[in-house]
Amino acid sequence: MSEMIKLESISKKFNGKEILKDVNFEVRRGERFGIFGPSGCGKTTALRIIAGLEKPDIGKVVLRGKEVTSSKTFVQPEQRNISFIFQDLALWPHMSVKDHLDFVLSFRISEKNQREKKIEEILKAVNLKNQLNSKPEQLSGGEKQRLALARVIAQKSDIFLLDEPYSSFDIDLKEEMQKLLWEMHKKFNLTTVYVTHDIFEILNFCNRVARMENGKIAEIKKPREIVKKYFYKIAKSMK
Amino acid sequence: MENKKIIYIDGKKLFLGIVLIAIVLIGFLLYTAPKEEKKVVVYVSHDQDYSEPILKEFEETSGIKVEALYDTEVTKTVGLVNRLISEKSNPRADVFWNNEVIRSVLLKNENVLQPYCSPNGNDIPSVYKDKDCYWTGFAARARVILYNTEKISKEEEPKSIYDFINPRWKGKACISNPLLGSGSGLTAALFASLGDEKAKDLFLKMKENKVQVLESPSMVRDQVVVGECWFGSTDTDDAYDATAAGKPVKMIIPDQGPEDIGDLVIPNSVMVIKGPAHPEEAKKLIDFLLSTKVEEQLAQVALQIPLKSSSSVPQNVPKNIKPMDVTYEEIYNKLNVSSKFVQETFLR
Amino acid sequence: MHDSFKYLIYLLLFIFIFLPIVYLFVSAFFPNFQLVNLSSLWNYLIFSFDSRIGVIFFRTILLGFFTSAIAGGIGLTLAVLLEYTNLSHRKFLKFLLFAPFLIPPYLFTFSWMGLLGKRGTFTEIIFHNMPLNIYNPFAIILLLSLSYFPIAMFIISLGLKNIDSNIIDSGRLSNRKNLMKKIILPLISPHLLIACFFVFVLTISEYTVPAFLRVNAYSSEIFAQLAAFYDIRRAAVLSLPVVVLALFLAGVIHFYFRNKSFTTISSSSRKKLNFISLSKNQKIISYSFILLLTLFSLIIPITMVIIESNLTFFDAVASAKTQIFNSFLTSFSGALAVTLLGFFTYYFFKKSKSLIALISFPLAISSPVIGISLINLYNNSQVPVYGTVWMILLGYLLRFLPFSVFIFSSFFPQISPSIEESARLSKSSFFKRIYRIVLPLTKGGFLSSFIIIFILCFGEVGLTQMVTPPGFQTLSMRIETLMHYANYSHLASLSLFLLSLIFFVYLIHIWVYRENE
Repeated sequence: MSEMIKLESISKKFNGKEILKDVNFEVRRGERFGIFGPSGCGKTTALRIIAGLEKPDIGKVVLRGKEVTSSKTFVQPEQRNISFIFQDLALWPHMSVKDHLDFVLSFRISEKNQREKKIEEILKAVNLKNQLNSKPEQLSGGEKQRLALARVIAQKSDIFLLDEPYSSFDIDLKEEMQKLLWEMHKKFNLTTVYVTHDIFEILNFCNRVARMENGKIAEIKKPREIVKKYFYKIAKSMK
Repeated sequence: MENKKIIYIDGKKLFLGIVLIAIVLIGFLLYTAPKEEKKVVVYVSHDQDYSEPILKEFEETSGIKVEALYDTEVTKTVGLVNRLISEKSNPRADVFWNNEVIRSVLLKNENVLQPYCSPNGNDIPSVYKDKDCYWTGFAARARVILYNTEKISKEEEPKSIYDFINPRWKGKACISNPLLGSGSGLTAALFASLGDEKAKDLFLKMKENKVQVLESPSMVRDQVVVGECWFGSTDTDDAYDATAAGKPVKMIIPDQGPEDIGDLVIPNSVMVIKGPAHPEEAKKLIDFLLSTKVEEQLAQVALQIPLKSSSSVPQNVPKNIKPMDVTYEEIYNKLNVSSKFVQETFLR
Repeated sequence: MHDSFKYLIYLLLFIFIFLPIVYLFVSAFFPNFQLVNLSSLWNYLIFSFDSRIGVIFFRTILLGFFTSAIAGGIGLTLAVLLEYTNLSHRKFLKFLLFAPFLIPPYLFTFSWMGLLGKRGTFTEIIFHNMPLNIYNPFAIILLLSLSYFPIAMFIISLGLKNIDSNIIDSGRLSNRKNLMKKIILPLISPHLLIACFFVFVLTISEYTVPAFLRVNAYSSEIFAQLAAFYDIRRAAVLSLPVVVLALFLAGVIHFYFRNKSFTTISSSSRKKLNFISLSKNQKIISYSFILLLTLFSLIIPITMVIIESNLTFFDAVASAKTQIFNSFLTSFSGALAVTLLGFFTYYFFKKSKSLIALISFPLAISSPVIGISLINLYNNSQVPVYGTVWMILLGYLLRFLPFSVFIFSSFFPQISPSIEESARLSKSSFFKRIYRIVLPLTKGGFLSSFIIIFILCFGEVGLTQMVTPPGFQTLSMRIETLMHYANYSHLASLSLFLLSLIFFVYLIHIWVYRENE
């Protein structure tokens, strides 16, 4: 089975407005799949449908060869074994860094010592070991990102969904985080779907990109081919 | 970063705390739940301050636990009568101790009661009992006129219901709400005694004469005591509270002349609720309440007029009152038409 | 599990809120649950609703309209002053100005009658023969406005707090002059309308205040059916227009706002906004206004109660210790039950505006009729709650659930949905998510709801009297009894005790709230 995620004929309306129209794509195992497009084109909605946080009006979602969303089936998000980094990171303000990971790990590691060991391992991997007892409000932007990443790593799922995770970062920080993400992707053999409107991000990270426009998939190509058009536009405007 | 002092409540602990409190509360509520024991459930319209000691005495002497639910006469609430009617199909009370009679007749007609002829009721005149033993009257009060002695001299004292329409007393008199409680009883009694037309005329003239309508006989007493009303229509027990406290007021039993209509006498009444859970205990309680001892006690503390021939009558309790020449069934039959008139015309 | 629990909450809402009321009306229109022929039903309705009833109904609607307009106006003014201006001690003032709502309306009226009524202190001392007459509809409007403006202030403040500060800042930069009129007021119009709706519904169902002030309001008519005519059926039928009106208004509000979008704050930190800089004179006027309100709605009522108590406080309290204990028991359990159900109701149905309106409609029905509805349903059912203290709790659920839901509505929007979604994706169970993630973040709502509902339960009397089991009496019932006996000193003493307790608990709430904010 090489297809990890498959969307078939997904359509969705919100308040009478069509957000997604007949969206079809699949993501293979180990791919770094990007969804690229302007704001409001339906990228986040598509991602949320994969995660089960929204239900489509029409269409099917298949994960790991099994139907998880259709007219007859709906598998709850907590049962899909999917990791999700939200745009606002969704860190739990009342929990420390350690508590975040402890909460996630408590579902698969019941023994406290083993859990603590695992927490240390993960925090080392994301370079947050010194912030064990800090709360999110005490962390910098980059540290918050790393905590969000650490949390999804702790979940130990093989599908990563990222919703514009670095949209508010400067170029250097973006690069640093993407590098970290790349390492995690390789290390844990992940399948990643990366939503962004930033052409440099897809260029740096993705190996296949779906360009969305007005709720539809306009094209699915390699990043360079997608980006070529935009470079051309930029170059034209600079004349 | 600022150092903020935060009281952090762990969600888990909060949840466990809620569960623990819920368990404790459920325990309390189970503790207060009705238990199977020798008991009688009585609904009481009579003033709690006077009735509660009597019920406690019954509890002590009989060994039967009394669970009482109290009411207020005027019923700014909807009262025990409504509750008894609502509970008709599945009664919860065993006994109803009413502080008047007309609603007892209502309850009989609503099929809420069952008959019981208590042996202690034998020496009560038949006019104060239901002929089929559905209810038995005892320890009565009467409607009185209470006047302020600083405002009205002995020579001018009002002696009749017709003084309320005397132009001399325009704006100076007050009555309790004729739609509720004992006020409604007097209204219905006047309709029964005078006839509909004459009674309506009387009330319309009262309205013209700017008679003030207050919430309860107690409030009428209160307004007379401070002189806000110069005189008012209230009950013997309320009037007694003021006279016994040395207030500048005097009580008159109205309409006692040979040509006059007489006064409304309002006995307490007790009755067994139909289908009681504790029938034997109910009968014992009724026997107790209809005893000479209880009547004499109510006469002492609340100026209730004993009706039993075996009861002694204290000095200060009114005697030989000329009652209105109507039965309680006749008064009851006028309740609806009089209340409608009051609601639609008099109080409008 | 999430869905199962959601359906459980649906079921509980149906049983506790809708079923007693529906049962009452069905049994009123179809006695003994038999189909009656339509013409006799129609004749019965014509008989029940004559022109006199129509006039009284219209009069009551006017009372509700004017009260909601005045309370809404006061609430809006205070909300803006306390959220957006540079007045000092705004937090303290917020808590102070909410306090009048916690005083039961019948106590409020009693204390004002003590001052201005026929035997009132003010009347006696200052104007012995003054024609001042508080026994009229204007006095009702004034007294109820003073009693209910805090709830309007609270609801409108929620609206103001939930406006993204960036929206206001962008308005200030582009057109400050029309900021209030063109930006802020439109954004808070749902809250303003809901505040007025709440006050309107509470006014038209209030019966103690019109009764004390001898004004024939619609609630008195319903009441008279029970107290004078013992006609439960007619009382239920007469209650129907009030319920229909409340549902209609709720429907209009829902319909009007369904397609409009109103910004809620983001999950990032919220700026405190006090962008309206008042001048010295404006501050003086504002403080004077607040002082006047506090005087009339809080200081005078409490002072009158203290004066009337006539140093019989300890005797009165000693004589009512059983009732005080009972009140604690029922109010504590009631607050817990209402808060838990309120929390889950808001959690599951926050997007459903119509449900919020539906659970509010029992507010339009006067307390004794609610009591009768509970008696009707549970007396004949196999469920062994009738004749137990549980009946009082059921009454509290019916009456106070909307308040709890509203309180939670001020706390939940501050939590981004993604916070819980990330917990879902971490495979946490529903209950673990609730107590590890949601509960800690809404603990302020829990505490506020518990304390406010506790206070409301403690002062409740109309419904409690109807459903209380034999051998059980609460403090508010004792106070009501004393009111009938005109035992003013004991009445005032126990009222003072009640108010002291209410304010003590309220102070705890303020302290905990501030510590956690």
